[in-house]
Amino acid sequence: VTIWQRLLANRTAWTALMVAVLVLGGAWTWIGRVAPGADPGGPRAIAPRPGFLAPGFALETLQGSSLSLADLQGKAVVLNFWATWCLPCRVEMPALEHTWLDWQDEGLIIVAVNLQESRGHVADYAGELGLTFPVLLDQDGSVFQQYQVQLYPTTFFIGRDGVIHDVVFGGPMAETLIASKAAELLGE
Amino acid sequence: MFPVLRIGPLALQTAGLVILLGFWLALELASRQGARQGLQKETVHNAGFYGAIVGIIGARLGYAIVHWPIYRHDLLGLIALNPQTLHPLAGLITGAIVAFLYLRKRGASLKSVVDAAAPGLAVVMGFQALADFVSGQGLGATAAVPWGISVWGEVRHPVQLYELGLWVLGALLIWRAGRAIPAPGTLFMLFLATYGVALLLVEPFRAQSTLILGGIRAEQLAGLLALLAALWLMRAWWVRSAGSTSQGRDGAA
Repeated sequence: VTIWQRLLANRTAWTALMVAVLVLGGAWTWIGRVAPGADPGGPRAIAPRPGFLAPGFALETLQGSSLSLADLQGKAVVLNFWATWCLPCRVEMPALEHTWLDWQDEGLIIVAVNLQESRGHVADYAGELGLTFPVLLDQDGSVFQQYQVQLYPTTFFIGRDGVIHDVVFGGPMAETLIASKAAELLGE
Repeated sequence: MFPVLRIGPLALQTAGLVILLGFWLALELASRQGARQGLQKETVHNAGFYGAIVGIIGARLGYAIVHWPIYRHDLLGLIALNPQTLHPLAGLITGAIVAFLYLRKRGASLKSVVDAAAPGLAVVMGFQALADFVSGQGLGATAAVPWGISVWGEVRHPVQLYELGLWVLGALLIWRAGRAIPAPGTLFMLFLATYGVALLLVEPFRAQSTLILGGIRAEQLAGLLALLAALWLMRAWWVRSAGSTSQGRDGAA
């Protein structure tokens, strides 16, 4: 007969165990509660991973103007890191464009950050595919480093609150994946 | 944190690899526990295999149902090779139903099936915690403790390791208890109790929780209720089983 069986056979001991669990567990749950308005995890830090605030940046667009993450405050952002030589990046571009066309009025913005390629080459490519969302040029690769991108493409889904909700490493992403993640961002 | 493992030109998602390894180990443990209970090892392996296949399909369908306004315009998305478009709970439920029906057809009862699955489920939960740790998911709250880990410049509770530790203990306990199950279903209740303990103890150290009733962490309350329910059912099933055994003995006498 095991200790478990002996305990089960003893009604008083089992009842005492349940009462102890209820009292101690209830007290622990009460101690673990979060004060109204407080963040359970403490103030949010900045890091390129889910649950953290997205690192800020400012880069040049294909048209030569500057765009920063701070400019997009209040919008849900799909931040895609890519290069024209990367096959999965190229495959998913039309899906990103469709999602942008479908959801831009709802407050979604798609931003594609290109890694260290010439403005002319990227502009030709974007024109060929008819991309209308902002394409940024990371000429020195500093934003790729800041976001610790190790795999092309890598896509960050950032909520209206500036917090990264999801990261998709690799691709190509199906349009259903991009759109469903975008819908989740906009629904929150 | 290593969300992506690069082997030459290959880039593999670490969390997926760890969970696959956990599933394989869980299936092996389930077949061994099943053998202790009189189920054939091969039958349990087959049930796990069919459960996994249907589970993946169920997970994709579950995700598509949740996001139906998107999928109804793009049904090809159902066969997209994106593991991010899976609904884990839907997959778990459909896979479990298929595995159970397969075993049921071969004469196993519901309680014996869930008992056989219990050690493997504990292992899967442990590997899930490990996958979260290596991929940097499920962050802990900021902490000023000597054993805290530095995550992106901040010291945090290693909640995934707390969970892993509890599941290692839980899996060992369940595996040992599986040698002599007091009554059908009670081994699975031991798994449920471990799950409840893990939620109850670890949740206050997490960075994100669902808050209800003026700041109570919903996951912690769910853990407490699961633990109490598991303890109550364990005893109730043992009493019923002991009663029917003594009645059987009386009848035979």
